[in-house]
Amino acid sequence: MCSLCGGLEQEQHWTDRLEGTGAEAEGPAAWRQSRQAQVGLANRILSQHGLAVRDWDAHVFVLSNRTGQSELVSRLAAVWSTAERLGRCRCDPLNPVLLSRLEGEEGVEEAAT
Amino acid sequence: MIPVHLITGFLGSGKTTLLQRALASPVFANTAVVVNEFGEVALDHLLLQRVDSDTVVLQTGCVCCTLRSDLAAALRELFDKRERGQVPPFDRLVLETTGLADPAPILFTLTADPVLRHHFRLGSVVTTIDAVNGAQHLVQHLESIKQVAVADRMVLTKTDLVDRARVEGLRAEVARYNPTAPFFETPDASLALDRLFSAETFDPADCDSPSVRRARAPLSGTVGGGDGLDRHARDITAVSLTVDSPLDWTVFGMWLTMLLHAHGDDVLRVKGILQVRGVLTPVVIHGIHHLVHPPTSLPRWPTADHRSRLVLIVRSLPAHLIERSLRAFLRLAPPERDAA
Repeated sequence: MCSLCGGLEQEQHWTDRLEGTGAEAEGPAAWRQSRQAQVGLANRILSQHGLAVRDWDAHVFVLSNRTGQSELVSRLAAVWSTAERLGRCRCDPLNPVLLSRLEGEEGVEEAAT
Repeated sequence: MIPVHLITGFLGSGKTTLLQRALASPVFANTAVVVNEFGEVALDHLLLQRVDSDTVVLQTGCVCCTLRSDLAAALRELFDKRERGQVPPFDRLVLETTGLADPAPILFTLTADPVLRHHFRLGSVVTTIDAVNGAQHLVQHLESIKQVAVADRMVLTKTDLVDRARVEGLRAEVARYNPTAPFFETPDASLALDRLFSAETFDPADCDSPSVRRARAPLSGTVGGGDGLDRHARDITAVSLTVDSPLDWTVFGMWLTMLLHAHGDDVLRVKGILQVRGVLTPVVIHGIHHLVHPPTSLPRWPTADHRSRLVLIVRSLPAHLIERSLRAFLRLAPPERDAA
């Protein structure tokens, strides 16, 4: 348990890193960098629901809505259920509206069919 | 890590016979067995030949529904005895489920328990299918289809009791629900038991099997069929995706966690070999419903084809939308850096 915030130490999630694969993403710096990449990507998806996520000290993610309500989430996989509660939305990667938006973003090529 | 192999299959499909045969082989000398007692399956237990101290019989109910904690406790006890030298130092464990058990919660127990996950890992999920009655089970019982869908290896049993055309018809039907799992047949004197219970759940050849290539072609469409088949079962589809360029791991993880969050109940199986940015070796990924096993790597690519190949066995999810979604997410990845 963290002595500062009381948060329980989390087991590693399958998305966290690729152990034993010789991946670049080894070490604390790469760990933080990977989390930042996750945050950036999540924000592109969650922004349509008025939500924003940030990394807090590479320990937990902080998810906030437009009214300032925030919740801590320990891992990426838990972001989605918390986002649905805070944003009163459904996080579904098969949602055609979301896909159209992602496909239309700058720098995003036309989607294959 | 001790691999835990799971034998599942419908009642009377030959699970215990297969287990007996495996245990009679010298290849399985250091194998512990866990069976669960549920009605007639208890009789099966009496037939097992290696049931001495290596076997723990769960006393009540169905493993996946009511005995998950008992299963965990049984495995912990077995491991504890192994460590204390009270049982031989087994290096493999086989778990035989009841005919009606859904394997997904069992796999969840193996990977979620804070003790077990450090000592045990999932081996192969072997599903037995009765050549005499298997087609009927697929028509009438969703559970039977789910057992086929989650299989790493499939064993057609009692093939000597029906003609060859019927066996081939059943193989074709089963492959429509799970195009990645290779077939074995019994009785077959040359049955490759070691490959059947391979410690690796992913055989690279699986993604290149003819049935996978067939599934790859029509990326959408409903498979199954037959009078009386449950509607949900009719909607089970194998979706095969190929990605030419290396995947961004963050993007892929984001996509799959979101997909499993929203639709995990309808994603019966995820299986793939991936080319990941910055990773020299192929990454193998496995999932059942909401559960994804820690990714592993193969020492080398099995063929000259280094593209990522992902197979999802889904229920009532449109294949074209899954592919569109993956491609839309992958385009969010930052440009790949040049190798130094």
